[in-house]
Amino acid sequence: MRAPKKPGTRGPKKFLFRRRKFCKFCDEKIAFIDYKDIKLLQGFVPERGKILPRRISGTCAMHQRELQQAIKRARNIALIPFTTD
Amino acid sequence: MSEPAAAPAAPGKHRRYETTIIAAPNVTEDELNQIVAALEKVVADGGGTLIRTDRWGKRRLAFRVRKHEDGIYVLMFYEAPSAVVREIERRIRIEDRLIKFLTVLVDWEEKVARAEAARAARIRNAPPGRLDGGVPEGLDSGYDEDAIPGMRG
Repeated sequence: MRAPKKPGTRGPKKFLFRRRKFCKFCDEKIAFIDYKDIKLLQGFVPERGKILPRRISGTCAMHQRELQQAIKRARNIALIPFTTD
Repeated sequence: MSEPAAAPAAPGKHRRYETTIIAAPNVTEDELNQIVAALEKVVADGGGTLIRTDRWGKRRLAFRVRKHEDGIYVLMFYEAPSAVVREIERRIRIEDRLIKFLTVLVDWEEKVARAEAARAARIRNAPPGRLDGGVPEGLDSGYDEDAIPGMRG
């Protein structure tokens, strides 16, 4: 696909092994984030129960909004905790 | 988890909703059948169409609800005027054996359609040579995911 790139030619590649972030939903072409899909949502809700921020998950803005909506719905019907102590 | 509801026989007239109800764990099968049947009747009486009712059965709640640790989940998919939704929610509130509910407008079909349309438009406007409308080679972000095995995912 892409031609192999010589290191240091282009791009901010200071951290050599930093994994590139990408939006899971764009990548897998998930058109709709269902609040019932707990397995999917749980990946974005760490132990504490908070919603994983975009800067960490790499989710794009559009999908983060949908994700947020889905997580809040899932919380409402007790599929996902609001918080854990 | 469960698949999206199947397309209705006659599409269009009303909006589609999805109501999840949680019954207390001590509600018997018969009682639950009664409750659900009553709600289904509301849909029919109000001029709506019931698409499907799913039963997830008993599952552990993420937190305690009215002192219950478990709940019996039932999902109803239907197309109906908004008055029906109001009536269903009113009845759920009155019914003590139901401990929680959530009604959601089912709009994922629109979203899928919009995504499809956007993709089609991208292909129409794509430069020659890339039929999928993707980013032409050499114009992407400067990172190279293929360079390091196992970098993605």
